[in-house]
Amino acid sequence: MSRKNFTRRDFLKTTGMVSAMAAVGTLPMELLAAEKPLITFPDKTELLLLTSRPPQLETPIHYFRELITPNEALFVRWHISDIPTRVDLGTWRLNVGGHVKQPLSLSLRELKARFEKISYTAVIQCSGNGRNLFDPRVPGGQWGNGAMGNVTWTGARLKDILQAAGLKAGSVAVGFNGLDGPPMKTVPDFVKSLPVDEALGEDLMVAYEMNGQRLPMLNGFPVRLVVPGWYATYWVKSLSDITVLDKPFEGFWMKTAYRIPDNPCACVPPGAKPAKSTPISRMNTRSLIITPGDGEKVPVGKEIEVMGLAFSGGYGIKDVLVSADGGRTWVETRLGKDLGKYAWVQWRCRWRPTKTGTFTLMARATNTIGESQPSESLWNPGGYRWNKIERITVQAV
Amino acid sequence: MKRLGLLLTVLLALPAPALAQRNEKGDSSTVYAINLPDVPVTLKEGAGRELVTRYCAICHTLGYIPLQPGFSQQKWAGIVHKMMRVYGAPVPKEDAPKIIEYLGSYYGPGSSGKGGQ
Repeated sequence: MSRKNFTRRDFLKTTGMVSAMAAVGTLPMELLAAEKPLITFPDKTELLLLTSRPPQLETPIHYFRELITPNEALFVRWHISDIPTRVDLGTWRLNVGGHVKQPLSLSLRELKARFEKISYTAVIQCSGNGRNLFDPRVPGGQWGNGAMGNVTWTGARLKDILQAAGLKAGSVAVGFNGLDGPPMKTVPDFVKSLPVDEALGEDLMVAYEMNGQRLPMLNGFPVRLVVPGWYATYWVKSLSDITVLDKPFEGFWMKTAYRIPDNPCACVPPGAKPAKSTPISRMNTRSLIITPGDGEKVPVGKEIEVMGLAFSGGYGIKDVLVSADGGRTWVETRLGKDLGKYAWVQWRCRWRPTKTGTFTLMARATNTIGESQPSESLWNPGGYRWNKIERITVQAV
Repeated sequence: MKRLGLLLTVLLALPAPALAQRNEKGDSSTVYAINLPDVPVTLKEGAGRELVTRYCAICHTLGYIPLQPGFSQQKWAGIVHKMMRVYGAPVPKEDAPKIIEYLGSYYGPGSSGKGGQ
């Protein structure tokens, strides 16, 4: 506790300009999150600061009590530090080129007018969400559980845009580049790619609205790619160039970075190097207990509500089970409003601690194709795809 | 803090895109811009700090260093060599060991790694 306070005070002393906003609630979970200082960036509310250049900001967990994550509270994650801070829509264009019959150069107005407007809710989650939970710890952005959000996206179907440009025979991949650039020539530009069959999927979107509003600059204004069900590394922000390729994409951020062990569990023994790796892709299934908070005191003999969220990589959620005895017995929970297969669903159940003492609460989600959560973490060198069954403890008093 | 919030509110009071789309000729009403806050980070005092500051801060905030969970000197060596080999950090060969020693000594096992800057 004193160390947490020291961290924040020390930070304030260093910067003299950062918020030490009064704790939003009194849950121990939030106090834990407060080990990272709170800071306000443009368009954003007070978020947990990981790094400022490039910005990496984490959502405080109390926002996950809401079904939809507000735009100003959504996490921020950039890779290379020359990020866009100024966009002139008079000259900005979305360029579609490469192995196509008719290259396109679309203004935002043209993008909105020419292509059917689609909308759905989808979880956006950083590949490294939960990285600071891995043991042994791995280098990188030390995210807690706040590098995710449930957002309603609106935009144009990527498939419609690609078909307007007309893919030539022999197209195999599509590359996506944004307005961000490297601080030095030797740093690889952040470019991602998808196999052409994935890129032509029915649900991929070039999004120009989040929750009915324009995108915050730090979340990819004016448009970003949305690859629902896949980790956010593919959701290229401030998208400016779509390039159709007639051979596989060989860029650093596909070939070297964001790779996972190429085996069924995408895991290796802790500390080991995988023999073979493959690009990260679809999200696994996970759940999170939001209330009560970890370490919270609850009244003995009185029924309380246990509430959380669950989602999977595009296959919805079949059920969420909760255990209050460390995993010996499980009870079913009631699922909340269904916003579709890409969204997260809230779950709730009632629980009454019958005696005083420490209880371990666990939640385990299963999606509609039977994918569930492991009881031990599946370690990998990048610290990706955290989805171990959550365990929190509460004190019945 | 209130002052910072106010400052950012003022900076954000730039033309909104809804307004901007009225004009696509490229005049100022189509521009949307933000100013990023400057968040200075001071690393722990010690031999090698100046080198770390000089080379690491070229590409990213020094806040990445206290953010990490207190790695061993060997782990830090791997990270520094990756920065040089993969991202082209222009660290002179003779300075790399000094940087690694600083990181292993001052941000080694026992550092928190939970907070960031």
